[in-house]
Amino acid sequence: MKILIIEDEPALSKSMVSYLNSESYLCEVANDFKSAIEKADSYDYDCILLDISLPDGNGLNVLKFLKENNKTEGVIIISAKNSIEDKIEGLKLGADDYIPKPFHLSELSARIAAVIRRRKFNGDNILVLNEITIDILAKTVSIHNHIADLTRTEYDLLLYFAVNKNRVLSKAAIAEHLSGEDIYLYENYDFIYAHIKNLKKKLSKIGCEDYLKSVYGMGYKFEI
Amino acid sequence: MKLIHYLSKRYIIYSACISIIAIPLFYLSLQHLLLGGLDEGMRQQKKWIETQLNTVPAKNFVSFENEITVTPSKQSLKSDVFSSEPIFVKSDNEIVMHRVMLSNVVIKGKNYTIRIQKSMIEDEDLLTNLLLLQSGFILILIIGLGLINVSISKKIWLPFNNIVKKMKGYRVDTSGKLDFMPTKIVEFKDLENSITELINRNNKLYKSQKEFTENASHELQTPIAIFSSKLELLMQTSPISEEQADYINEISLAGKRMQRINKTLLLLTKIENNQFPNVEKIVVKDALNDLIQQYHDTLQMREIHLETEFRDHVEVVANPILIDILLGNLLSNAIKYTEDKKHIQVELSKTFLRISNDAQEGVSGLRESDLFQRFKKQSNHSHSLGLGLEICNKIVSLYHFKITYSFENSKHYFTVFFE
Repeated sequence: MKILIIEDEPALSKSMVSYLNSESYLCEVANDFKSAIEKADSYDYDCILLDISLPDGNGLNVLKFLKENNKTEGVIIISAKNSIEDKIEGLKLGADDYIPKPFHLSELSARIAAVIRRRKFNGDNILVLNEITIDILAKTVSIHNHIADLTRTEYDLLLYFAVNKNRVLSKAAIAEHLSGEDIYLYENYDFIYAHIKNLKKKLSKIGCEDYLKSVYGMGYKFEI
Repeated sequence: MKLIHYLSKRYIIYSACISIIAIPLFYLSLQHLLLGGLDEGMRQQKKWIETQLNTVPAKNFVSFENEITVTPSKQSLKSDVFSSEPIFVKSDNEIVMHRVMLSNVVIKGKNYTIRIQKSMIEDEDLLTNLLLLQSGFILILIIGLGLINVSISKKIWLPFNNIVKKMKGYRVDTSGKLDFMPTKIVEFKDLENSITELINRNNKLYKSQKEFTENASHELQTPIAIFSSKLELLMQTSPISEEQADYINEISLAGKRMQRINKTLLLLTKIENNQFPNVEKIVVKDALNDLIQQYHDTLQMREIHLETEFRDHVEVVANPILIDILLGNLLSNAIKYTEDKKHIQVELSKTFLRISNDAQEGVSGLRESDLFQRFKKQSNHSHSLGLGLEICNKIVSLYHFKITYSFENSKHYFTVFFE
């Protein structure tokens, strides 16, 4: 999987590269408008991460360029402006998703996975992790062919862990993933504890190994 | 005191003084002139009678209605005596003021008293008429002056009143440039110019201050993003000791807080900049239910009883994001400051929305004056930013609603009045 990161802030693009590399993505970085156009023109990527405030041009023009040249990459807009207009404009121009700065790398990775999945038309919508099989279209989880009776939140949680396997996920990242951006108005992560407890219980009931580990002081990890 | 009253009062006092002095003065001098004329006429008559008496016997000297009488007298008067006295006139059947002259003459060694009387009725009439006329003129003059004064000052002060009205409605955050009425009066022009200058200066200051907050928040987003991403990468390294994990956790919490403050400041600036222009009809009940659904897990876990009472179907025309933030803030505050197993009430009626919750033990009311101010925290709650209620207040005033706080029976009440 190849990913183009268009981001003018080297420290941030480095973070993204190092997180995504260990998820076995191949990342390339363009740090200005010109090189972004060059790279997007000459290679095909599975996903493009696009910061729209570039020093030498609006990132939305990259989107226009892709559209005009019939490029079908999935595009996720990254914006420090967090303005609704940018979001609407970007999605109108064919972006697949929008993520405001600052974001959790785990969240970014989940969004990338979702975009790439959506872009694939050959029905590769099954995620298999040892005995766990996640059907992304049907939104079901089965273990040894037993369907797990998960709530919507528990399913989201499991998928989030599966995409970010072997990573320490902070409680804040999990909470924000589950309740959207609004969570910043109400900061209490206690509720995720209950969800994780329930998820673990339901999975072990149908014979799933306990992959969900609590990491002291920081959060949780899906070790597989 | 209004300027016009101040001026008019002085005009009126001056005119009144002048007329109070002038009218009697006029009257007296006219009377003096008239009497002088009468007296002079009678002296002439006396002289004529004196010469006549030398040739005609006094007895024959009788005139109409006893106007002139000549009677022999013993004592002699040194000089002519004039007096005014009321005398009954038979023919008119009324008492009329007369001017009477008594005079002594010696004709052929005999003393005679000549008495001449003249009716003053015409002179008096003349005097009264003149007096009335004069008073009338003065009255008209004063009234006219007053009216002119009022109408002129109304017209003259129109631009001034306009300025005052505009200044009253002026708000640095919402009003742009002020257009004043054209005026020819130099003083008002000066006033307008200095106000315009003042406003421009203030606008510039306000704008730069706003821009500063906006830019600062925007510029902070990237370093915060770097900060949090590096921290996330740090979490992935191993081995991490428990001590290190604690540090990482604390750093991450501080980072989260920084992020929230920044986001909230940005949101405030955006509301102030009116960057949420699109409005739509929002059913308040539905918005509330959606939010309550979002907090369902937390409420359940903490066993907080949330009771809703939706009496009326209420719709507001507003930006859905802002309404969501407003209701979410109020609701999450209520949840945040309610102890486990306690109660929250949400009450919606045509005119207001009231969210109340049981206060924590030992908590008395909050200071309402500080409540809706930026960074005025009323709790040591580490999650509290002191910005949530300011946002509520900003949103509420954007849509001309009203928000109030009260504390009764150990309960906090936050009420939003629509319209």
